[in-house]
Amino acid sequence: MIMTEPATDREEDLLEALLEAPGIDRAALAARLELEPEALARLEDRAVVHGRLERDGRGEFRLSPEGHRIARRIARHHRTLACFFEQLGMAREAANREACTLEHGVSDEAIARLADHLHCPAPCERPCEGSGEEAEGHPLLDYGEGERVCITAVRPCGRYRRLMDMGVVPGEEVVVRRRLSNHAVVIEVKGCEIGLSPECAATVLATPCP
Amino acid sequence: MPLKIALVGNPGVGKSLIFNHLTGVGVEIGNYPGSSVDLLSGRSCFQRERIEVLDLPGVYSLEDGAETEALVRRVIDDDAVTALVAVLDATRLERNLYLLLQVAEYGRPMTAVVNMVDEAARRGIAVDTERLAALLGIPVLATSAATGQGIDRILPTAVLEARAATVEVPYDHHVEAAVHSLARTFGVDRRIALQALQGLGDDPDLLDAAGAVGEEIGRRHRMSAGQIITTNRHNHAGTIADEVVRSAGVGVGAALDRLLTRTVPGVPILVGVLMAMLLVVFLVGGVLEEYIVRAFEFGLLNPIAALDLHPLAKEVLRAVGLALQSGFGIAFPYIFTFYVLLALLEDSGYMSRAAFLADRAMHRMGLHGEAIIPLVIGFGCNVPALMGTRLLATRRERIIAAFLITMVPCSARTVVISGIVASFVSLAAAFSIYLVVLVLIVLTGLILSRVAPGPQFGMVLEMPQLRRPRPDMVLLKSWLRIKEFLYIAMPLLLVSSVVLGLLGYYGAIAAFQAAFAPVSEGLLGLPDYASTALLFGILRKEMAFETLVVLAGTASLDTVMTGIQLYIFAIVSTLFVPCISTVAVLRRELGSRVAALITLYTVGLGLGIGALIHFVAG
Repeated sequence: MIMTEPATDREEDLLEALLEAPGIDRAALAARLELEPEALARLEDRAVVHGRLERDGRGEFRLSPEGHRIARRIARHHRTLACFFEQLGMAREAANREACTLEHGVSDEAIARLADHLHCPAPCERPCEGSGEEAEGHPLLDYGEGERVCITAVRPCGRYRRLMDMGVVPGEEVVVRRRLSNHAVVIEVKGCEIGLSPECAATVLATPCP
Repeated sequence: MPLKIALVGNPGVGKSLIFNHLTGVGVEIGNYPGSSVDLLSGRSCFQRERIEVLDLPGVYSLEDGAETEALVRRVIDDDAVTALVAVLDATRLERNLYLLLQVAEYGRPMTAVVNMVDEAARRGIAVDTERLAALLGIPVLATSAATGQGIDRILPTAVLEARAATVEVPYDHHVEAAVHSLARTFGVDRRIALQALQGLGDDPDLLDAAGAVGEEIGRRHRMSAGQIITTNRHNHAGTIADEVVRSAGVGVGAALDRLLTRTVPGVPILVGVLMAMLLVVFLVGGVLEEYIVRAFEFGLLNPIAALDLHPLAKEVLRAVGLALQSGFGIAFPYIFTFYVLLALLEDSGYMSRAAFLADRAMHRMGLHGEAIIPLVIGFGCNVPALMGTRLLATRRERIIAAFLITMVPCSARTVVISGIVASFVSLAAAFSIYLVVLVLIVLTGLILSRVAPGPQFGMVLEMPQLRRPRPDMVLLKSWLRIKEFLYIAMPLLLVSSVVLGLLGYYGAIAAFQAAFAPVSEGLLGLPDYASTALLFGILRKEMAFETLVVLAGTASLDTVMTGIQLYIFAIVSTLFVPCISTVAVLRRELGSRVAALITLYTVGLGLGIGALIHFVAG
């Protein structure tokens, strides 16, 4: 049996990148993480061994529920820190760089207190981060055409208000009608077909219907 | 007080068609006080009383933070509105009821219209409107705007029988408790407390309190208060729909859809469709324009020239005549043709497929796929295209889209390109201008997305069923659009033409020509009168061409200018400065700063590209 080791900083970066850019191709991923392809492969293998990444039917990597949890945690750290540095007057670029370094070491409590202190922008103004953190399920992106799934959570970010208004709400049964080559997904909900771009499809979690 | 009725509903439920049935001619486009979102209003009559009918923009919800939804909320809450007519799509009743439940919470007199019953029947769906009326507590009509069925009963019902709905959504008990306590503490009604829980409203104390309560609810449910409220409403809409809808569940084939949304052959089809559209507009427009221009020449301009009047009055009259001539000469041949094709694409449901195909490419330019819709509209006229950018999610996207749209060669610029380059140089050269402009648009997009980075929220679009467009609907839609164009662009055209006429009359244009001559001759290698023609192009793009002909003193431009000169002239006037109507709309939609920035950018780009071609080829 393999002992599960905590994720390294590099691995956390990888998980975060996969959360933020679902469906990213490997070359872009390596460039984003500033890694050689071989190093990226080693990192992915390690994440798979420790149950933080899974391979889907087409051989592409996707986040496991545990990987999702870690990625969301790091992404939240990043955003709160970057928001803090920007409010201190740093340029966005620099604030992001600084946040990239600190996001791994900082404790959840410090981040929660910092976020309370800062009043970061309203949910609709910020890109995705999860409440419903413990919600089960995989992003809609991970399901194939024709699968009937139950929505378990819609992360409150991005276009979530529009999604909810169109009937994509927890508990709703939807059918994945088509997956487009650019990772967009068309689902049928309440008798209407709606299309979701990959960013949006990634914020909707669902489990296969019983 | 005059009677006032507002139509409210989801996008694509046939609201505009009903509006058109109710009001006929005499539609006005105006702004609701305090909002920049356009609102269609028209007049009608019932029992000798005048009724004003408002067509509200289609929305999926009242509680989205966007400007359009805010406008709809305000109209619904406005006591001057006598009755609300909620238009529902019989084929998508459940989701439409979700919006109706929100409207019902305002407690305003209302009635519901279940539209598209004919289409629903074809798909084996039947709606029990009597049962629905009983459940909602308001009168419910079954109509088909396409055939006119039931339309005549809308106004009488709205005027005589509209009443506040009795339907109430049973909310989660934590939400109900919070609503009760907020309503009591702050002395507000249920609806305001509910909206405050979702962060909407303008009383900061109430919002603060609601925020704290909402957070507590969120912690307990692992779902935000807004999500719970939304879910409860959807569930209630579902319960109602289950009771009133009988569906035989006729399935629809998806084979064609599959073909259109795959990269291959989807993308080649998309490119082909757009190219074909341009080509048809090019050909049909060119033929029709000649007739219209000639008709105005003989019917209006020549008689004006023959009048014995004071020269100033004559100049003003001539300017008005020219404005009418070019307004109609562009509007009907080019823009109307384009709108017909556009309506065909929209009504067939193709546009939302195109939006998804284009999503990835648009991402590179900092936009989402839905931005392809205003960009395509821009080929007809930039003005409605800019207004179409309202559907984009963020201001950043709207600004990027506005930059790109103002570079899209509209119908008027098509006239310049076809009249100068296609006629005197070659058809291939004319297409190469489109190519150059397209490349510049893509480059501008790539640069802008780097210069102004921002979060991308993604795109959620309804995918209507693919269907065969109905010719009468297509014509009607195009007619409404061209009417809107005439209402907005015509006054600007008239004013700018008169101003230009007066400038010419008082010699200001000659002075400008002298001042601009070094740029025209040195930088672009064009004769000095070309600069005047370019100036006229700012007012109305196609005037660049007409003025050039007048100033050159001959319609055979190839005898006075070389091929390269003609090419440079066409490309500069295509790129440089959007026309004055476009600048006015830019200013209204995005503010003076953005309008100025875009204008400067296009001037620089136009002159830069012109100079480049001059120095490379000339």
